Amino acid sequence: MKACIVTRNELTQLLDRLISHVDVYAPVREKGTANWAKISSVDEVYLEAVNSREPAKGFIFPRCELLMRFDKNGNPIVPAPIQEQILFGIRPCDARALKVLERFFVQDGKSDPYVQRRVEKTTLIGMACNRTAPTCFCFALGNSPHDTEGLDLLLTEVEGVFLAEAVTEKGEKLLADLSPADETVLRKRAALKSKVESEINERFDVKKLQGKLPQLFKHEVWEVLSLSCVNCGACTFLCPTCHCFDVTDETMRGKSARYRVWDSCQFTLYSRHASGHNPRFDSSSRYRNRMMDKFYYTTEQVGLISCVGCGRCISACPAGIDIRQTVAKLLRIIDGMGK
Amino acid sequence: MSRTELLRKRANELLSQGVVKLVLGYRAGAQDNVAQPFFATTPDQTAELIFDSTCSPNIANYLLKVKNIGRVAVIAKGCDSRSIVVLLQEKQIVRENLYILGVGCEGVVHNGEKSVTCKACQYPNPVIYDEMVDAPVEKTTPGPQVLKADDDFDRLTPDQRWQVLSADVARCIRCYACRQACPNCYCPVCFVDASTPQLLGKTHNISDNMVFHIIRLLHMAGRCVECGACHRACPMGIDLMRFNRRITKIVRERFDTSPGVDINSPPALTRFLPEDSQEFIK
Amino acid sequence: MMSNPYLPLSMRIEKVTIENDARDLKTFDLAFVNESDRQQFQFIPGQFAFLSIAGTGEAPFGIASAPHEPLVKFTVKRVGVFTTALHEMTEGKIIGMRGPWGNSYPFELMIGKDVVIVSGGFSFTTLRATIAHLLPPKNRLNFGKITAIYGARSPGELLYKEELRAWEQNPDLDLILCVDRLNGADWPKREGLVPNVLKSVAPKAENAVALVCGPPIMIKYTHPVLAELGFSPDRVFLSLENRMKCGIGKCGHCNIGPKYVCKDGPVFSYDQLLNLPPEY
Repeated sequence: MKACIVTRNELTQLLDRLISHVDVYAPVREKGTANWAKISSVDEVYLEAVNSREPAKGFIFPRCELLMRFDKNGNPIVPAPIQEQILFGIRPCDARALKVLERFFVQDGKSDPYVQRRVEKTTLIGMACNRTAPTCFCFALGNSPHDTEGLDLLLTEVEGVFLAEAVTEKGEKLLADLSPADETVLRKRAALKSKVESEINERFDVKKLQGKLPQLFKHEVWEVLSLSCVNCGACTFLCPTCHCFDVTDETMRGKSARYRVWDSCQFTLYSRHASGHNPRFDSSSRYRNRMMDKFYYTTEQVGLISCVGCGRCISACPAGIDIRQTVAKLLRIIDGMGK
Repeated sequence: MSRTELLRKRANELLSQGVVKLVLGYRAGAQDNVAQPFFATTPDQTAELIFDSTCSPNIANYLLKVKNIGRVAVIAKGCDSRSIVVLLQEKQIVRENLYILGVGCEGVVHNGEKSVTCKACQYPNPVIYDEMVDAPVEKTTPGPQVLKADDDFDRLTPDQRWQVLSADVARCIRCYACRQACPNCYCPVCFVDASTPQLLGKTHNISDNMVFHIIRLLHMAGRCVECGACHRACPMGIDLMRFNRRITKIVRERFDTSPGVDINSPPALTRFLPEDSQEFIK
Repeated sequence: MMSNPYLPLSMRIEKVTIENDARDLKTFDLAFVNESDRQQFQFIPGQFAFLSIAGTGEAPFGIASAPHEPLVKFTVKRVGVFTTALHEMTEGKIIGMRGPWGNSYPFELMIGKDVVIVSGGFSFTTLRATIAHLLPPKNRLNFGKITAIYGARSPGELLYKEELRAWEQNPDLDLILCVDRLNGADWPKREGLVPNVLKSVAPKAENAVALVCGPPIMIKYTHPVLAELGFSPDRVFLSLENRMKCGIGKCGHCNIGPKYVCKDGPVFSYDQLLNLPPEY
């Protein structure tokens, strides 16, 4: 696929062109960090933060999605699809996460049409990371801050210009009229990639974890690991792949609608039956459920682990829980089991 | 001996001597992050205990997790000890089951700087304890910036205050981290989760977000000890303490009492005295 | 728009039957408003569907009718917001239905074998569907002996009483009804808990498949009896339930380990469950 060099000016012009006819979203400054917002000018783009506060999942799986309105006879009316949207500056971990979500929601047979039509309308222009935050650990899982998985186009800043690599045809179309990349820039990019990858020290054998986690279900480690967890939903809501949702009906002034809203397996009432029986009443069972889901259940369901190493759950946790410590502990137990 | 060393020594002794079954404190968080609440059950584990400015979670929140274990030692700073008083007054925990190791606190960090509520803190030292681990700390006078921000807010008209609250609350993603981090929020079924009847919607409609936050604030009136845990827990950076401080100030002005300071003084909103303000009765 | 599994089909309530003395169990017989929906709705007993009331919500219920029956039957216990609203619905009203979802009882495996049905309380719904599906002559000849043990706390709590009385007389089926307490009633004939009755009836395990659906406590005590009778775990099938919101394996609520009750279940064999965490 095509790879080009793009100067700052050319990039600004490209973005200006896009902004003029499509909704473009990018990280903008927000309260000491960056967060996603629709931009009306290139000046608003803020890429100094290692990552945006919120992940990009809301663009294909919004926090609150109108599923249908009901007319006065109770017949459902599905809302119109969204317009085209471009996510500019999405990091490789978040793009990979969108791919995981797409695989999960848009499967054969029971495809989720709401997610599907959003995915079809979304173009992802990624920005590779040339530095990491202390909470980043994508490389520990075998992913790279320069990965192209899930993107249409990947930009990498190399000494003041951008290397632009098309990943899909959609991405390639954006690169019309740009000079091709040469060996020098590709070599420099490779050096940047090695450098940033070396900033992440952990290495987690996720295949081993995935294979042995089922045997750890009854282990007492969950009780200990979950003690400081307060079962809020912060980790799940900020996680780029967590996708649990609730379906709720609302009626206002005689008009009804059905929405889906994010839910969290960490909430006590998440698994409670109408009878009052709650299979995951204990805090430890809910903590375990999340870890199992990220590193084992989704591998059974879609063949991918769903943790991408973005580290948001680490920064968000009000109790200082670090998923890396949990994974390391689980791997130590697994190694101990072999003996 | 440093405070941390004194703390570890005492915790070790209490466990070894069987005075308590568990020591609830903090251990180092990952990479200068938030310290993790830690439950030491053996003397060896006490070697991990710390107390420093990363110890920001309100430790009293965790007492409810271990209330059936037996006697528990808890390392409590000023605000946390006030939460303990509130929980004792509300009969959620039992005094005989607690051995409170008091520590003075110079303020905790949040996003790399001293937490806003800590700058205005009037109770850095515990108000209740079985022993103090170390010497009490000096109370610091809040800088003019902190009080100014609150005064400025007070000078706004109700409409303007509504705008400020709306702008903040519009960003709420209803993750309930604020509620879960707060020791006062211990209802088995929170009002937001009630279904018969359902009191508010689950979407992030501004109306429902406002109902959640306003009712939670009202539930805090007379009980909030201004520890700031809610504010620090919010992943969206919403300034939750601004409103808690205002509510707490109103309660202080009207009822001349601060929650959790004096265990013998009944909570402000649990009684009605003849001299209480009745201006709302028209 | 591509097919949308969240959209409910319009159903008219043709008949409402109060099943018990406490009046908190009602059976709803539904007809499709649109003929094309009726033609497309193909299901096998064991599957479930969501019932929906615009503005109130949805909940999942086992389909209690057999595929050849003209109306789609659900029996609902009033326990919360949605079921209360549904109970207030009268004949003629329109509600929504989404489905059928889930897998079914293992009819392919059951061909040529004896079928042992064990059920308790108001969980009997999908097993009623099963029996009604097995009985018609052209189906019946594919299966061996059918033994069904169905119990409830008291006679008044048994569902589909008229049908049960007819089935007791049906030579193609050995229906054994029981209640925890007869309290002087003259029907059914047996007093006893379902697991104990199963033990005394002692159906043959050889070349048989057991279908079990009931409250957790009944299931807990039924397993050992089936094991003692010689039923291997891969011949015992249970219908489970868990909290559900979407019914299509997306919302996450109903998971038991990596499996979703709505998609990989609700029917699981006992040996499948032995490999899954006890989260149900």
